[in-house]
Amino acid sequence: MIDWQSTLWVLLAGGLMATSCALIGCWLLLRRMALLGDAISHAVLPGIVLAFWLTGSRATLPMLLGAGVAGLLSTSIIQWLSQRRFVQSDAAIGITFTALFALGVLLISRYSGQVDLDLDCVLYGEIAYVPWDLWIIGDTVLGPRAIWTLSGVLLITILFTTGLYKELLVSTFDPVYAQAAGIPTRAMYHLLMAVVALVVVASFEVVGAILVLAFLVVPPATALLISRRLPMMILMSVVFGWLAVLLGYIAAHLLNVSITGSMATASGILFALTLLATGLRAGKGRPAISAQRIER
Amino acid sequence: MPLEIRNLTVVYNGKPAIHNITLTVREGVLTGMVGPNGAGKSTLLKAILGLVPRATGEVWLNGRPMDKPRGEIAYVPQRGSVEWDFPVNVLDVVLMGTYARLPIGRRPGRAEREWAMECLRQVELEELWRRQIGELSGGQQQRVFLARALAQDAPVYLLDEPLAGVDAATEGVIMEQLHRLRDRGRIVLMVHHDLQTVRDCFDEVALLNEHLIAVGRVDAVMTPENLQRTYGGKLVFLQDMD
Repeated sequence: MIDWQSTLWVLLAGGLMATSCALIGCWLLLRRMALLGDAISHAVLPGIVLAFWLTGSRATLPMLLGAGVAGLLSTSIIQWLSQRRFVQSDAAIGITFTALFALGVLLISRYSGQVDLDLDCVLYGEIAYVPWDLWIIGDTVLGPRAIWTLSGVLLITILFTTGLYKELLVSTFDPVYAQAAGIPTRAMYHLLMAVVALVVVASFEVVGAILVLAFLVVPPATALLISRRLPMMILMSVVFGWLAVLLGYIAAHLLNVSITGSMATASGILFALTLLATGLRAGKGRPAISAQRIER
Repeated sequence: MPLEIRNLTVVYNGKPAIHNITLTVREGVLTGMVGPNGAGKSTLLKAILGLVPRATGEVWLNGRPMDKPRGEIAYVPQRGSVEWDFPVNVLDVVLMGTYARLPIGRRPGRAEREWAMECLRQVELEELWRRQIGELSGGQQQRVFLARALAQDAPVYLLDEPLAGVDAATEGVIMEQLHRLRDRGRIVLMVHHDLQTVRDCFDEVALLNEHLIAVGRVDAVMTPENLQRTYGGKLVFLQDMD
């Protein structure tokens, strides 16, 4: 017997998360910063733990704040390390996120006896719980808490990516020209990082830190295979994101496996199928990733 | 009002890349800049733009010091500075030239699109406006960059080797547009790689090799002594040029 209401909530939560990730992931991918999403998703851990420790609750807002602060801190450290040329920018990413992540693990293990917070829930999330964590004010049930959080984050993501579309476009395509033309490229970078941190943290509860990366990178990469213009790429990455959520959910039920893992796997399969459908055309894909653009 | 570069020095890794450059680029004069590889030509352009830190010196435009340009300078970077498989078409790129004039958050509209098409017409690429930029030839890509700078309609144009590796047709189109800019009283400074064509391309020329060796009318500057000082022993064959 299928609980249709719960099913719809889970699918909606996944779809909202996938949409935010696709909208912001396209820009990361085009800036050769796809792995920065991964870095942020790990580096926010100590912020979450500290927020939890300070407030003693798993309420969403303090968690978001703590993670947001840690996320911005990590991007600033990465930018500082690579701009001053202490190390290469890929090494700067590697050093920063592993160090902050490890700090988070230390904090969790130190206080795990006293707090109800474990690595599993932070790293992997559990989308199946979405329908049961309800937002209740007085006697009014407002529906699953995650739906509200994810909707708010999606709204901010849409406002950012559409409102500052032309600034994002020119500072991503040609940052040097953009700076010469007076576009605030540095501010765009920091805003983008702030929104990435927001999206990543909001997606924790739904798919967990590690699987956020799949939805940040794979649907945009799939869309880029078949898109010649950016608006089409963005639209198609949203479509691929939703498809991965839907197909992943169905597969999880049929095979009785983890829903989030199944969704991420579905996004990978969609990528492989698209690659095959485009005939493995050489030269269509983008060259190997370099992280040189981070400092801009 | 001219573009004045005063005592400009840029230091990379403890060594000066350009040293104490003082140079006035006037409107209505097509000015070229030549020098050997690593002479600091691109660095000088970037220092004018405020894209690399200046160790000393100032840049003045219209009688005022300029730290960071806010659209007064249309910059044509080297072709290799962007990813040409980026998912944008030709018109998208030319439209970026209008961004400097639009307030933050405002997107280009019909007027900007028509203006961008007009700029594409000037570089004779209007029929290719829907092409993905990766499908263009090198010369066409360079013309797209020029069209974007034309769309910016700035008082100052800085170009970094726009003729490097382009076909003859493109070279003709680019020089024609630069002459038009000059005749409309714009300040045009172009880094150039080919000594043989300096006479045909420019009114004035600056010779650069970390220091400014000489600047002025082409005939007065392009002397064997000056070229020897700019290029060192690498350029003996220039004696034959006249």
